[in-house]
Amino acid sequence: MKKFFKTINRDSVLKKVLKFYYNNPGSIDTAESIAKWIGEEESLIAKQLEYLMEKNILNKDKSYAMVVYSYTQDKHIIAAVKEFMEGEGRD
Amino acid sequence: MSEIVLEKNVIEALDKGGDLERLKFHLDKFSDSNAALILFSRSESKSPIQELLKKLKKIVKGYGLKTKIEKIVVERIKDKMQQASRSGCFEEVKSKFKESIWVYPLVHGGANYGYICLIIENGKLSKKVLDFIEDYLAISLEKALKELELIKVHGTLRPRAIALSSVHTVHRLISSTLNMDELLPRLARLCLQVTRAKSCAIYLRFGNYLKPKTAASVDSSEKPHKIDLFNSKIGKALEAGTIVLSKNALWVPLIEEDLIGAIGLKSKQNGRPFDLNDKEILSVLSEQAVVAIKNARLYETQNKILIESLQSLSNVLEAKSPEIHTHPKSFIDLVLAIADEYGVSQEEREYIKYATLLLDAGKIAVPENILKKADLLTEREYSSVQEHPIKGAEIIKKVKALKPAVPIILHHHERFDGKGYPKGLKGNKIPLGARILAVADSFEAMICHRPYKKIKNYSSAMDEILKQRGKQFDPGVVDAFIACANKGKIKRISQRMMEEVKKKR
Repeated sequence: MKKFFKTINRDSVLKKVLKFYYNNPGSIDTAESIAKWIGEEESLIAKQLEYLMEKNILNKDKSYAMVVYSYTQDKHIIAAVKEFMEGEGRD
Repeated sequence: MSEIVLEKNVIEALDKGGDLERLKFHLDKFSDSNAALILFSRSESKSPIQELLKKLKKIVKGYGLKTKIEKIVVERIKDKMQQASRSGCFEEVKSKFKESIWVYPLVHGGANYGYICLIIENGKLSKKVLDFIEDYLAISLEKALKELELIKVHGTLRPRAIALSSVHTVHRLISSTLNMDELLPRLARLCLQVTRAKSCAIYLRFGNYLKPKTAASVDSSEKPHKIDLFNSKIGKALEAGTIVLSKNALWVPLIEEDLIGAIGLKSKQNGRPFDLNDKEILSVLSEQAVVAIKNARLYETQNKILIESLQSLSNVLEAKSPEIHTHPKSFIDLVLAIADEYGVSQEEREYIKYATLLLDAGKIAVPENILKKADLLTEREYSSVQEHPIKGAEIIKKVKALKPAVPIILHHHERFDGKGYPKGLKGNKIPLGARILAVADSFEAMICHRPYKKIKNYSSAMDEILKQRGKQFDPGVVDAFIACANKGKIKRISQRMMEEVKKKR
């Protein structure tokens, strides 16, 4: 996870997406909607959502017409993200 | 936001907004001197003189003013704060020093948020300038209040908007399936996700009880139990259509005229109690869940009617000419066993099922004497038999709901090597359902009676299927067939099929 958080620090959009889910853990939405909430390009957000999904931070759900992402339920990952985000706040 | 918190926030917003710095810049120019602007909250104005003196001294020093702040001046400033509160206008503080001091009340809409103390090191400010400062501060205060309002709106409306968007997404996700076995687990998982509860169970009503049909949980092994609707507190509340909200549980009834089920949540993942937001979100989700469950049930009923109609179609053929071979009832088990082993999608499985039930429909269009003939067929008779998939497809394609089954019926006599009929399709160009049906149909033909063929025993039929792997049949489908056989499924189904055919004869 440490390596992953270093990557996050180098990518502002990735950090924004992570922060969004940290602040709104109950959110289940499409890349299009997340892009609107965050105020970034949909294509950029879609890429970062996929990346966070590969890292098990997000879950992905599919139906015929849509792909949606939601925050992990894994308490260890949630705790690690919390620690990282709170550390960010102290900076 | 409480009054004290709001006042504190207003003072902070004014302090950090940059307006006071700009004002100081202009005042320095107007007075050709050094000006200090000191903010006080209303609560500070009630502080002891010593405390105010300390604050003023510190700030004045910070601004680089040489002004000597004494106790008496602070007492006067404090008095003027009270006067300014009443008058709503700036008040001049008289002192024996060369500095000029004014106190401005921060008043907007009848509410007092605090004061600004203005100290000019040298000289005086004209009435015009003082009036300008008053207007400037009024505008700055209004701006700060608007900013705070925006922050408040952002802080309260944004999470709600995000939650509503999630609810809408859940609605779309649960509406996209009509399969109850898929719908209920999905609903449980999504409710758990949106509310961040530790566990969620979906209950359906069976008589006087609510029985758990599916559950989703985060590190919880606790199994949900059935609920007596008339002899338990929660049951009675749900039966009455009431949402039950407690610290560690949230129960929402699913109502479609009467109670049809319930959603039950237990404990939040963050350890906090369930709140009104959770209640609101889950109550919207429950309304959507009722519609989705209703649609899935209607679809199940419609499906049942459709399958029964298809079965009666082959019964018609059987009743009309009992001597004509139709597939035994267990044939569908053989087809679906192979399809499941192959790993077809739920949707594809349904269409394969329909196609299997309709497989004999095309025989209605083939002359009876040909179907009953035990001798070798003439070329003309054979081409008539070869047309039965086309005829079958023709009959079925008029029924909209059965359209996806048409290509499966049409091509179930195609061969993987392209030597089949009616179109001579090759390899994966043959629909998957048709490739599965081809293996099942040939196997059934070998072990069950056909007027034109001698039956084979089970192992010879198995050998024949293997021999045709990659020639007549799709190798992947044959592998799935063999895997089923290794599990003993094919043997069991074969016995059932043979018994059915024996009884018929």
